[in-house]
Amino acid sequence: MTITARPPAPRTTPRRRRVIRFTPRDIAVIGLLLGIPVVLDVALIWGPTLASVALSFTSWNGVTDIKPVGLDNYHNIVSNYPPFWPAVRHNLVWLLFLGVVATPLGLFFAVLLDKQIRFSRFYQTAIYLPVVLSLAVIGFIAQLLYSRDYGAVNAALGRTDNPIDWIGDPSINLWSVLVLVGWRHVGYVMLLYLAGLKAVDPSLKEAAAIDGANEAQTFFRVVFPALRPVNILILVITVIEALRAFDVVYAINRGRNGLELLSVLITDNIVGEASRIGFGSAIAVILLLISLIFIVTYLLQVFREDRA
Amino acid sequence: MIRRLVLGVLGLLWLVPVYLLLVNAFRPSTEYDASRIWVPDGDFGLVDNVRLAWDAAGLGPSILSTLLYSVVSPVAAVVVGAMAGFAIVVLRLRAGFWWFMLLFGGTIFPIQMLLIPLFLGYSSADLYDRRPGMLLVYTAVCVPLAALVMRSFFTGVAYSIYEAARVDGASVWRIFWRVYLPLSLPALGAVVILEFAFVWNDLLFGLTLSQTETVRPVMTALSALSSAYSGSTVPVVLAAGLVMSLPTVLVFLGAQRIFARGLTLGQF
Repeated sequence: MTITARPPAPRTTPRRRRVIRFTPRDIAVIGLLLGIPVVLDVALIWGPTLASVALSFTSWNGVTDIKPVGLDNYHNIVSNYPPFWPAVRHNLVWLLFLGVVATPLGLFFAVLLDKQIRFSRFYQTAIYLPVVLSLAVIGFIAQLLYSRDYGAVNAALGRTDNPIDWIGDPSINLWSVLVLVGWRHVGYVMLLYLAGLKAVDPSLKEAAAIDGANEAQTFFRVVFPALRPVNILILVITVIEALRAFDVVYAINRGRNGLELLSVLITDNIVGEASRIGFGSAIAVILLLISLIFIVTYLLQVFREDRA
Repeated sequence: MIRRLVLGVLGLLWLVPVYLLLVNAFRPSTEYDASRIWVPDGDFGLVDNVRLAWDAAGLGPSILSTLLYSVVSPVAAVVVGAMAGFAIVVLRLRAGFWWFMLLFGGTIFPIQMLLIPLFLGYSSADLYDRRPGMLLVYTAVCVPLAALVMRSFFTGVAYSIYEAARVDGASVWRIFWRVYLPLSLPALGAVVILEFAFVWNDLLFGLTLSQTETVRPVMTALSALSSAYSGSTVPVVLAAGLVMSLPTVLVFLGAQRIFARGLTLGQF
């Protein structure tokens, strides 16, 4: 492991000069090294996605001929498809909750657990455990906790006479689900930040301490900026998780009655009975654009800071 | 002191839902009662519950396929991801960053966008409802994360290793297979563990690309069990969920050490 701990050796040769010329066999191998991942990715991820983008400009039920309809699907989605705007709002609330509550909490746990502390492994396990539970199981847990008549929360609150319907009431069910989703997201974020914190050079912290910085200053001025690679990764993961969220609400009530999400609308349209494939694809394209807005805005900001 | 208190309270709070899951999955199938939901039952009902769920949902045939997918695909994906990372970082390919973006960019596409075209492609290529098809799609969706972690890992490996091996006359393939791949085993292990859980828990690809009991992954069977019409009692459904979660939980607990060592996210 000592080898990997060392920083990359300074380049003494110009960047493009190879140590020794590649043989034809080497070049074929390089083609395969890069070619296999690229072909796999293009055939099974980029290809289908681009095909969906194309389908979003058509009307198709999967059986009859594909009929091009231009931007009609998009127009219909924003102007006369009632579940669309609530779903957008739910997705954004979801993103806000993960970004403002769950992610900072995960960072907080990681910072607490990064120090030498007794039972550290136990806490890590307890907090990470929800991440390895499947979302179907999280759905079961939701029923167990929140059910109106036999749920654990109402039992604990003593509200058996006048029970609260935590997942049936559309004004609160999104928040009930978000608590569970956050419960899971915190563990994921904690794990990634722990990995990032280990990679922060301890001498940075020592230097800050010698210069008289207190613990909070050291963290916000020295450690957190050094974590930027992990921050970017976590931002991307948080955006993706929030906008892709599907399994939990699907397991709870198929994503209806206050739990509409864009991913649910897409699934309903393309694999549901209605089989409006073009229409569903258009919702998916909108979802993709929303994700891109967040990610590209952030990346641009990062690059601008880099240059400044 | 405060630190320990905060951690203690939050750590216990985090375990509450898992506690409820355990207590009620161990309860005999007919003993479920809302007023005692917090209290463990004296009788041990887990085995019977699991047996009931196993028969009701037909979990048996699914489980072996799921195991196959969630072991083989992540392993294949990390090797493929390491290939890409090696080519981009160590061989310093021209436009390496863009090749990387091509591979990693796919992670932001909504999975639903893949479903219909994949379904059509799979039907015409005779991959629909077949194990090789499932393996292929899981491998492809696992590659981007593997490429990300391996790229970051190889960036931290001294370039002089590569130079020395070249001077000694090793071919590119030999350097990759005999030097860099063994060197990166901890990182590869960490990614395999993460992706094992991902594939094991997948629902969407299973629902769209498979049909028969022997091919379809276990989560699709499990989600059918929880629907209101399945007629299973709460302890039975919970027991099924618990047993289906065991592989991922055990793999994670057993491999925590690998995890701590292998997943360093220093460079990006």
